Amino acid sequence: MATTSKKIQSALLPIASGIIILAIWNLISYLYGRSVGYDVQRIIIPFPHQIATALWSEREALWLSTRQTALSAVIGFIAAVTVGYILSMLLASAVWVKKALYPWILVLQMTPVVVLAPIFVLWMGQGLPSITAITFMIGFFPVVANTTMGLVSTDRNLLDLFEMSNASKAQEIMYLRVPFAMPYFLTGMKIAGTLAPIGAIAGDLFAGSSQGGVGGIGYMVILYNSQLKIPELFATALVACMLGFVFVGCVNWLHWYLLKDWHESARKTDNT
Amino acid sequence: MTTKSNNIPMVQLTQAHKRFGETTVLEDINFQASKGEFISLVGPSGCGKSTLLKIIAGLHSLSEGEVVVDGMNPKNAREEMAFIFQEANLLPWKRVQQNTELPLKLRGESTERRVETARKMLELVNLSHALDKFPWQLSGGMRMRVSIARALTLAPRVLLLDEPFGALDEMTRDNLNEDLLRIHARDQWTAFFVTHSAAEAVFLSNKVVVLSANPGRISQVIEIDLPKERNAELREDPAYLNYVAKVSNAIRTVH
Repeated sequence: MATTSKKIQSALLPIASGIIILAIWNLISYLYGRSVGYDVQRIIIPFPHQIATALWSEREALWLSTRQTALSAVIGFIAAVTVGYILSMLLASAVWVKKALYPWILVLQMTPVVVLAPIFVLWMGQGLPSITAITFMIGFFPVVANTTMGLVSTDRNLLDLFEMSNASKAQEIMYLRVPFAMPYFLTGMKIAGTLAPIGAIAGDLFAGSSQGGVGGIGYMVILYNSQLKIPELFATALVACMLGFVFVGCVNWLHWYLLKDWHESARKTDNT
Repeated sequence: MTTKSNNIPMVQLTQAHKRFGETTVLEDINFQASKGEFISLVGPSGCGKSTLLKIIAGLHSLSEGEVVVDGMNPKNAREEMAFIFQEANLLPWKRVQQNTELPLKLRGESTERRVETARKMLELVNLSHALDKFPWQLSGGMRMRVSIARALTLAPRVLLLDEPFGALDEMTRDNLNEDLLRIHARDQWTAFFVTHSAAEAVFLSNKVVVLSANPGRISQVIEIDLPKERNAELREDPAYLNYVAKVSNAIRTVH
């Protein structure tokens, strides 16, 4: 009984609060429209139903741009994870390598990507290469930081066990260090996954183009904004949010799948 | 009192000193163990018992003196030694079977031999029903059994145990002690067993080495002259209880 009512409660409460938020939104739009006129209201704070209508009428353009952004996000994400992992192996291979390289990776990380974006565009032009580069820049540091941490913090006793078994360096890396670092790596991957759609949209703002007929979500933002299609802009925000949910959902599933053999305590190395 | 017939030392320490930086951890350790002896190392915390064990294993090197395992430098005698750690020290991402196979796998044995040997050893520690479990699905005592099985896969001649049962409840610990003796009687490896418990030390060993702290020195070697075949009933034997009192007292009074 108690659990059932709790379940109903946790399903109903967000719906109820959502209705209340929509009602308040409606009221503000209405009051604002009444005082300044509904033409102005439409481009400052559109009614929810105006946003829904815009979402429907622009569905084709929005779907295409979402696909484009998703593509950039996936490529940038895969690049961030792969390069991040390889770099971590390098950093963890010897103390001097880490000492030599890590400060510069930090420098790169501390430089805001929005400042680098125009430079990327200068180098690679408008379009996919620049956008994925920007996505990569945002995503790769969490992978490097977490994976390196995992690779160097291998349990001392397990290392002793491998030494007692006369394990080679290659065996130690393959059978111990790499699997041991797995939860750390996956935590980094999860963070990169959360950042990838944001990176792809930000990249699109700088380097997006309708070349080939398709711009990404960031491009649509600029387009709608310049045309004062504000309900469409809100609709774009809604779509971007959904893309984020789907992307993070996939990455979380991957995280769960790769760690399902591990104990909960290992799965809990992340707190995202 | 002990038989001196086959007295070829399996492990021998001669004037062994160990320093970490300025601190002397072990001083002037002279000791030898023959084949099949079960030796417990006891003493207050920080007396260097674990360090001594790791020196025999070749995981730490000596600052002065010499350690010889079966006539060799410990690092060359690794194939004859197995180490059992304070915690079970299993790979969390591998099942019991694969965890047990690990040393054989690292040595490059064939899959067939690996599987067979691991099965046999797991049977020996009564874990045949848990081959497919992950470490986190096991109790502390069962995890330790896996650890023992894993150590036995290489048929070691010297077994080094670093407080293996310290974190277990008393009943589990007693059971594991009895199992350990049963396997020892069968395989006759030479054991070095670090523990905090005087009762455990007496129950298992034929010799208890009491170390003093700061720096660690051998303060006393107590021979345990109890029958070789030991079981749970021994725990009520007055002679056994006498030895426990003696060892406890020795630990308490060392400086």
